[in-house]
Amino acid sequence: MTLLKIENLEVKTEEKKEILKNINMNINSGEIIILFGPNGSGKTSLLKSIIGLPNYKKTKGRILFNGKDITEKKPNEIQKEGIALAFQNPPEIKGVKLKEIISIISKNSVEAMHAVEELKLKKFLERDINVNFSGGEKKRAEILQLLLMEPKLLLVDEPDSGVDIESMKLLGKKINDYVKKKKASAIIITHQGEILKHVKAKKGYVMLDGEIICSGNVKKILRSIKKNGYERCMNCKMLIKK
Amino acid sequence: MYELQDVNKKIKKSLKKVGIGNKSSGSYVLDNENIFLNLINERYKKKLVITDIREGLKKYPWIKKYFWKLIEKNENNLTKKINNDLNGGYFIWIKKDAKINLPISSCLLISSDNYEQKVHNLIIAEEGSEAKILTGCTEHNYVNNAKHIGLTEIFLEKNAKLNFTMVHSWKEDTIVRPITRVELKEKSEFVNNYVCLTKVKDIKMNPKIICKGKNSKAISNSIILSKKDSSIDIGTTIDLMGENSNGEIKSRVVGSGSSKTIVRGRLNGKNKCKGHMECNGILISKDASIHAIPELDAKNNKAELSHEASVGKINQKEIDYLMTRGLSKENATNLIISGFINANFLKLPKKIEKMISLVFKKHLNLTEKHII
Repeated sequence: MTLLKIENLEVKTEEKKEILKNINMNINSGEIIILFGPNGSGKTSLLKSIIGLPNYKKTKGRILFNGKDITEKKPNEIQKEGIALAFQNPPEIKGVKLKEIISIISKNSVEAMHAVEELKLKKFLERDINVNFSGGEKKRAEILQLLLMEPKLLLVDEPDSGVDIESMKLLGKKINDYVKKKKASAIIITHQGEILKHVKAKKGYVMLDGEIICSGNVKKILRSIKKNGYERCMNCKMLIKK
Repeated sequence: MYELQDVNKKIKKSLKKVGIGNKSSGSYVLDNENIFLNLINERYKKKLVITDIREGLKKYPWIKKYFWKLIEKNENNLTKKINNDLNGGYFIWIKKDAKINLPISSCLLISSDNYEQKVHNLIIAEEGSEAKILTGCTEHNYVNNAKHIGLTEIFLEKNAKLNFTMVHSWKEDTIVRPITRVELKEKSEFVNNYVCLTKVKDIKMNPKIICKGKNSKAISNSIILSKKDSSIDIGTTIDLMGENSNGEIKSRVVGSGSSKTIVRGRLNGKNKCKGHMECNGILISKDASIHAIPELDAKNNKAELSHEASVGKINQKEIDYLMTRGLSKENATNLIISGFINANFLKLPKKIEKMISLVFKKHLNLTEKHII
């Protein structure tokens, strides 16, 4: 069953710069999708557009979630529909403690504390969110919040960058277990594909210049990117255009 | 522990506005010019004196050498008015080596329309003493067009430690002119906290702290929530005169409505000393303004003075982030603002923090009309 359907989506920034075009995507319940692409290809913009951040203006197309049009909805409304985003670079908010956000988002405080301990974040509860957190600590705090929101669709932006092997294993396992247990879906952005060792994903997409240029078996795509870089994708795109 | 049982409901309600509750080592409440309450906890009677300044001058003539010592009677129109027509004020004497654990509380209340309250307070913290004072200035809700002029002279003798927290809770038609002068002797430490979260017509204040003694230390923190068309001009000046004296000025200001806020800070380095100043402001409406004026004046080449200042709107990325956590724009903004100007920033003694946390809770609930 289709959970998320993106049709002909075109997105511009407030300054009218085109950042996404002709985006078409289907994600079924229980499916984990991997997004590849070089820096600046539009991967993060796609996730931020799905969650409805205001600087990403949808100028064409639509996004359907569970059959419902969420194209014009605000981030808090989209979150309530069941989509949650783990940021690649979350902002630091002085004076707002991690525990305050957890108490706002979590539905079950016992489970929340269990997850806090599993992700080794107990001593960060009293700290201002993301302030002086290391890269790995930020990732763990993001995944913690993501899971506590209990979404049907997880948007995960580079969970494997700047994270040590042990933490990555832990984060990957948490995401995979959640998807399996809740029959949820996920879109995960990765560069090196390390997270693929810990999550079960079959389908991959490659983005270039704000467009999805190919999709297919995730392992094949990763092998090709590792072997040939995105050079071949670019050539491939040019061939398609011709 | 005594209760404020003699205080009627009307006064209690006003005391609550500035965070003053039951548990104090001593209390002074002035209602217009009438001493409404003047009590000292039995436990502290040998260590502490709290009385009306008019009584104090009669009973303890030696305090005259402190009275009007830090400011001239003819310095300006305000000091002249206080000198010519004194309506009261507190005299707090913390005796040598006294450790006063419970906060000393005072409240200067205005209870009639068009009343101009002129008070002169005097605090003497003797050698080795330690205390914390929570002082609130407010008026009853029904009072209109009041004016408060308050002069406070504070003396810290050698090794004394004093935390002085002032909470103002005014109405939009009140004019407020506090004048504070503080003198610090060797190794004494003074913390000055100022909180104003309600709308007010016009406040002007610039307390001056003189670190006279060697190794004396002064910290001055302010939290201001400027609402509607309030006009607020606040600041702190620290004179670092003693060798190795240390000064720190920090302020957090939120400007909403069409309020105009000027935040001043001045560190005068006159000896080998260290001083740092931070002023951060957030504007949450298009018509509000915040003007930060940090000044460093070093007159000794061993003075190390620094400052940082920032004024701007709330970072949109922070609002976006909290909205992805399910918060509406309004709630996200409120959470960011209450984090920005929360009581933790003041580093209050636990007991005072508890006392004024309700004041913060009450006033940090901004609605859509504040946020544009």
